[in-house]
Amino acid sequence: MSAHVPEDLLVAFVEGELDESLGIHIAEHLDGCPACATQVAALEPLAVAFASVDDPVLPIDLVDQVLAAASEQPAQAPVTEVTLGLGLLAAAAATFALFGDPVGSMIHLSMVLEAVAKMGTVANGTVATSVAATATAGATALACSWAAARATVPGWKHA
Amino acid sequence: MRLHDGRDELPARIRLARAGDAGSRAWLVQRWQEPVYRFCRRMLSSDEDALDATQDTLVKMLHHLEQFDERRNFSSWVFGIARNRCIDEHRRRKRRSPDEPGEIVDSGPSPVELTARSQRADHLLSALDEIPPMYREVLVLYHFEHLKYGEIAEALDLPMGTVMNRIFRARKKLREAYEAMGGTQ
Ligand SMILES: [Zn+2]
Repeated sequence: MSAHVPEDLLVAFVEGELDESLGIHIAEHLDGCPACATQVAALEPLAVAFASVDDPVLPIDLVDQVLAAASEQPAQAPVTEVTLGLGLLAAAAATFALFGDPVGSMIHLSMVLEAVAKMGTVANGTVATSVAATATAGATALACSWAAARATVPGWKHA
Repeated sequence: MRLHDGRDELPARIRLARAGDAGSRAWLVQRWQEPVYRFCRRMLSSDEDALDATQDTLVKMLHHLEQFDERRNFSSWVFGIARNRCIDEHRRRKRRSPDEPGEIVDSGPSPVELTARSQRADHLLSALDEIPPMYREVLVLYHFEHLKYGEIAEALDLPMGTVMNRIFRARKKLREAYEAMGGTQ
């Protein structure tokens, strides 16, 4: 939409009366057109009320505190690495439990050991099986607690 | 459009901060501490919780800079971290007191102390506290932080159509709550 949006359409847009595809089209135009965006802002029935609200002001400067905290706490391992590690552990444990295939399990366990060693959590091969079982149980517990946590805030999903 | 000043400097600052440049890390925190605090304060309605959430968000921003995709909008990414932190805070409150409303609302000044302007503002903020957080967050990002529809969609990791519909529904709920309080337009 290169031309500006006619006012009656903007009114319908603010009221949420347009079908979704036309609405998206207009929203995209508004994102790139300050003139139409200003017009829409003025059409919002609570525009005056929104404008009357003062901004909350940060009571203290956080820069030093944040920089200190960021250098104290070690950065968490990237999410993908942890997920991959847990996934490998769970996959190996599942293979072992389901098929009891010593060769398959050996291959998987060696992958687990490698992954675990890379993650720097376990260096000793003898504990690999229990590590795998613990990790699976841990992953299940995590999934359960996450589901429970989600359920505590109805209608609000984690991004 | 508060968040768009200094935009040209941003990509360079992000790159330098990733490489460990202390000045650029400080610049990023300085640049985002106010908007993140405003957002958290409006989502959590408590100075103390908002300060904690702001600090956690900014620390996380520095820790996860490597994961930021430079093709994306940095504000959306930072607000995305902040809203997840606020969701966690709402969950903590629910767990602390499951039978009570999960909100901490300031008592505020009495109506006689308020002028027409501040009365309107007071009604609007009370109405915002009344509506569910999933609606409040889109209104805060749109009307107070002036994010665009596309930027809100990125921050919430939702399709544009969903964000648009949520904003419409949020406005309707806000208007109802506002009018129920006797607020005037
Ligand atoms: Zn236009």
